[in-house]
This record gives sequence, C-alpha cells and structure tokens, in this order.
Amino acid sequence: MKGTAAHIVRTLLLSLVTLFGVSVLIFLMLRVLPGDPARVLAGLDASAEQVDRIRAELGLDEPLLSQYWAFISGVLQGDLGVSARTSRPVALEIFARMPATLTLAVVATVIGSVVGVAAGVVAAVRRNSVVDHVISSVAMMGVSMPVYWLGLLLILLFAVTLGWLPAAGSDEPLSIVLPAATLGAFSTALVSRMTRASMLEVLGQDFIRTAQAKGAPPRTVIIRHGLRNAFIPILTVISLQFGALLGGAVLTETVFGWPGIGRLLVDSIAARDFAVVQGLVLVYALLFVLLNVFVDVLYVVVDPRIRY
Amino acid sequence: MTDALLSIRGLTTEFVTPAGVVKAVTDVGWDLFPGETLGVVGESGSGKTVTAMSILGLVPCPPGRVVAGEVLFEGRDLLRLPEKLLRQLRGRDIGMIFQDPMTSLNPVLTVGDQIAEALRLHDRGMSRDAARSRAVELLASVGVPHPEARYDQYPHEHSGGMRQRAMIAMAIANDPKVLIADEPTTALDVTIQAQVLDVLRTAQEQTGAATVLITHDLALIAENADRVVVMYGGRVVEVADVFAIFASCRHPYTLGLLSSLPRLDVDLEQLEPIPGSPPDLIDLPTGCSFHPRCRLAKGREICRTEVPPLRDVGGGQLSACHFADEVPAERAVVAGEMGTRLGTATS
Repeated sequence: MKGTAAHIVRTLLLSLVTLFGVSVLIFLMLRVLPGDPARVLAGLDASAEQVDRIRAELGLDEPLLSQYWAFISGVLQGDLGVSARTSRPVALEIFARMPATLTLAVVATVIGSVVGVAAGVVAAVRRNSVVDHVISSVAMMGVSMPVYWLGLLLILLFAVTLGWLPAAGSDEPLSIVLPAATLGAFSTALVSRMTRASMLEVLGQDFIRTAQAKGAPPRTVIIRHGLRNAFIPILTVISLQFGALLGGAVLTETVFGWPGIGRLLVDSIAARDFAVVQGLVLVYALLFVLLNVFVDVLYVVVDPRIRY
Repeated sequence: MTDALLSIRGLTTEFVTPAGVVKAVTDVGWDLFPGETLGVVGESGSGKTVTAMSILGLVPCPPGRVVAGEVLFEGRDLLRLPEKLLRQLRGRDIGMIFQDPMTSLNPVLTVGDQIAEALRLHDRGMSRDAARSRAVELLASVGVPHPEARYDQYPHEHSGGMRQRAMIAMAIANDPKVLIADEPTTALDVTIQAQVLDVLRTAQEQTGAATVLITHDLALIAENADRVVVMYGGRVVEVADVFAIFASCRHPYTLGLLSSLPRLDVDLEQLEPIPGSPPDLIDLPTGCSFHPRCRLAKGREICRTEVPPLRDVGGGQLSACHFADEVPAERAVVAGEMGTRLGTATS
C-alpha cells in the first residue's frame, strides 16, 4: 500500500506536466482557429474601431506570450477568466452546467455497468446458445448505432407516440430517463462485449477447473472465481466510458436539450469564447487525471498481483 | 481381494473438434482398491488425464462428452449421478491435485481462502474462524513454513513447490477416500519434486486415501505405485502390480517404455526408443493401435484387423496384446541389443 501511495503522488506530479501541455495546446489551437472573437462579439455591422476596442478589452491585441501568461497565472490563482459572451466568470458557467453532466454520466455508467456486466456474464456462460447470440447481436447493434439516432427513436416512441416521458429539457425528474437510457445503451453494449470476451478467457483457465473439482456450485465458480479475475479489462472499459461521458455527451445533450457542459463547449467554440473553451478543456483534463488515479487504485483492490 | 473402492468400466470419452472426433478414451476399465496407489502411465495424449476428468464429471462439454461406460464409487455410477450430488462428492470424497500449480490456483484469492473454501463448501456449518484454523493446520501438515502468514498470501507470492503443497492441502482438506494426482510433480523443479512427493505420501498416510497417480514418469511409478495401469492411444494396454511391470511386463508397449528408460543400476550401451510417434486420436490405426510401432507385430494380420481384448495372462496380470506370450522372449532380444541383461536386472 505504501507503494500505491507513492505511485499516486508520482502520477499526480506527472499529471501537472500533462495539464501544462494541455493548456498550451488548447491555447494555441484556439488562436490558429479561423474567425476573430472580437468580430463575432461585435456583430456584423460594427465599425472597425468598435471591433478594435473589443479586441483590446479581451486582451487579444497583446503578444501571444503575454496572453498565455495572463491565462495561466489566472488559472494558478483559481481564476479561469471571464466569458466574452456572457461576461460572467468562466468558473461559474462551468459549475452551473457540471451537475447536469455529472448526473447523466453517473446514471448512464451505472446502467451500463450493471446491465452490461450481467449480460456479458450470461453470454459467456451460455456461450453459443440462443441467449448468447441474442445478447451479442443486440450489443453489436448497440455499439454500431449512432447515439443521436437511438435518441431520436426513443423520443419518437416514449415521448411522442406513448407520451410517457418528457422529450427534452431537464425540468422534470423523469427528464433524465431518455438521455440516460440512450447513453446507457451504448455503455451497456460496450461493457457486455468486453465482459463476455474477458469471461470466456477466464472460464477456460485451470483454476476454474480446480474450483469445480472442489465441488463449488456454478454460481460460486462464475462469480467468485470467474468474474473477479475477468474484472480488470471490464473496469478499464467502464472507466474510459465514464471519462468520455464526463466531458459531456455533446450529441445526446443536443438531442435532448440537456444543459450539460458538452453543449456549453460546442456553443463556446462556435462563439469563439476563448476563456470558456480553455477553462472547460482544462477542467476536463483535470477530471480525467483524477479518474485515472482513482481507477489505478481500484486495480490494486481488484487484483492483488498489481503493485506499484 | 477386497471390494474395489472405485471401478471404471468401458469408459469412452470423445471430443468433437472441427478436424474430427477425437477418441481420447476408449473402453477404459480399472479398479482402485482401498489404501492402494494405482499408477496410470502413458505418453501425453494416451488418455490419462481425460480418464480422471471423466471420473469427476469435469470434461468440458462441449466439445467433450462421455459416450459410454460407468464409474462406480460406493455402489453409485458417477456418470449418471445428478450434478448436485456429484458436486457434493467432488472435493469431499474425491480430491484432485492438478499438474500445474502455477495456473491451478486462483490468482486473486489468498491461498488460505482457497483451502478454507474447500472446507466450507462441504460443511456449511463451519465458521470462518474454524475454517481458517483448520486451513492453517492443513498448510502446516503439508510442510508450509509459517502457515499463519502464508494463509494470507496470494498464489503469486508462493513458489511452485509451495503452491503444489497448497494444492495438496486443498485436495486432502475433507479427508477424501480417493485422491487423484494428475502429474503432480511434472511442472516442478527436479529438486522440489522429491519434497512434494514426500508430502503427497504423508498426506496419503494421514487420510488413508486410495490414490490414483497419473504420470508419464516410470521412476515415479516404481517408487510410489502398488499397481500400474499402462495406457496407449486412449486404451488400457496392460495392468499389473508394480513388480510385475518392471520384472515381467507382458505388453510390447510397456516393454518399449522400459527400454527407453535410462537406468543407474545396470550398464546400458544404448537406450532403445520406441519408433514412430503417438497415434492420431482422430484417425486411430485399425486393430491394435500400437501395431505400426510394435516390434512384435511383424506384419501379422491379426494386429491390423482385430482390437486385442484385455485378458488375464496369469497371476492377475492383464495385457491387451494378441501375442502377450511372446513378450518375455522379445525382452531378452531387446536386452541383447541394448548390451545388458535387462530382463534379470530388476532388484
């Protein structure tokens, strides 16, 4: 465990380098993007002086290096800057949207993990049976189908035709059902495929035979001896999937009018709202780093052979 | 002789593969008597392990299936026993030790937990603490130093020899009546093999279990077995007590095995290998499956056309050779070729 603590500290220190790299990259990429934020803000019929004034207000007329310095020194003091569009602090914009994204990501991941692992285990244990073929086909469809398409189909069925659930927005408690189901379906498909493959490999191992020779019933053999050994790759897929969802599911949020950070990011890029985009990307990178550290610790818990 | 503890009759197990049906075990039969050690020898692919798996109902299905035969244990046919009853028997009445201790233990559970699991599976009332202290005792009894500390370690923290000791502890946890050891020392260093064998012998004495020792190693048989079953191509070709096997074998395959064995007690000018290679179990030779490699066949037709039955050739010794009577004379010829008096050199 001491090694694990040292590993965490080391990873976090190294991730500072990563975060610095991310900040430089996103800063430069925004600057080489075609389109002038001052021009966008000022509007089409603004005069050249007006545009120049806005540009000066945003600090965009200064050399790149001092612009970056202004950005990064702010970040180090916990100040992500001010949105050019809304004139509100970037941090406020992000934290206003974060709960919606977080809720959606957590619910979709829980659905994906529980249903996906269960389906994958059943498919592996009943290999080549009808059940396996059905599960595998549905999973194949699940990973292949674009999420916005599935989302639209679900809206059509449950909101328009049946009228059971709200089609969009986040005002009602039930609003989360359709977007979570849409994202959860994709996670479920991904997780079940990985679970099936991983379980099949483990169930062929010698120690499974040992467990059977001891007289262990199938449930014990499959869960206690099988699933725990199969869990590392499954955990990896789940965490990657959760990480991707944390960044906001842009398409799903758009289809369902869900006010998460995915849409904020896209809108801000369209409006050339540099401060918000930089802030969001940095926060997202930080979340991903923390998630990775968390999963590293989980690996140690799941598999005693893993030591850092 | 007393009644057999375990009787196998006509056991036939096949595997369906894309290349064809693999006849892993054909018409195998033998008895295991209380307290004895039965050695089962043969090359890899001769059906030794599949026989053991069939006894416990552990042949993976698909692709494997037991096609025919019966396995009688205490008056019950294990092949027709409901899965639930068979499960109660596994690990309680029949303990099994596998070949490779590196892969036969679950890597994410502690060694001790795996032994305690074997105990608690067959004694629902046993508390965790009781199972733990019994498992520690078992580890101590198979010669694992610091059993308390070893209990909480994972398999990767144990050496191969320690793991095989743990496997033995697991197999004898419930004082089984039958112990099946499938190549228990093959995967171990030579120096560790002797130690593990000692542990196995002690465990056998403690539990009084009748043991089936599956191996390709004749030296192991000579040292440990009371009686020997020789297998070839999925069939039993010879059954005899251990002295008879070494002193007066009655099957040319057994003779071949003995002649290819290096010995320290007599001077050999050369070893006599068995020509050819083990048979293809998908496409077995007709008649006696050993005939293409047999020095006794000499092109005789009956060897190619008729499967020789396992028959008594005197003194309870069984041989599945049409010309079992010619084996002793042939042995003298082989001995001459090898430059020694092999036939009389057994002590």
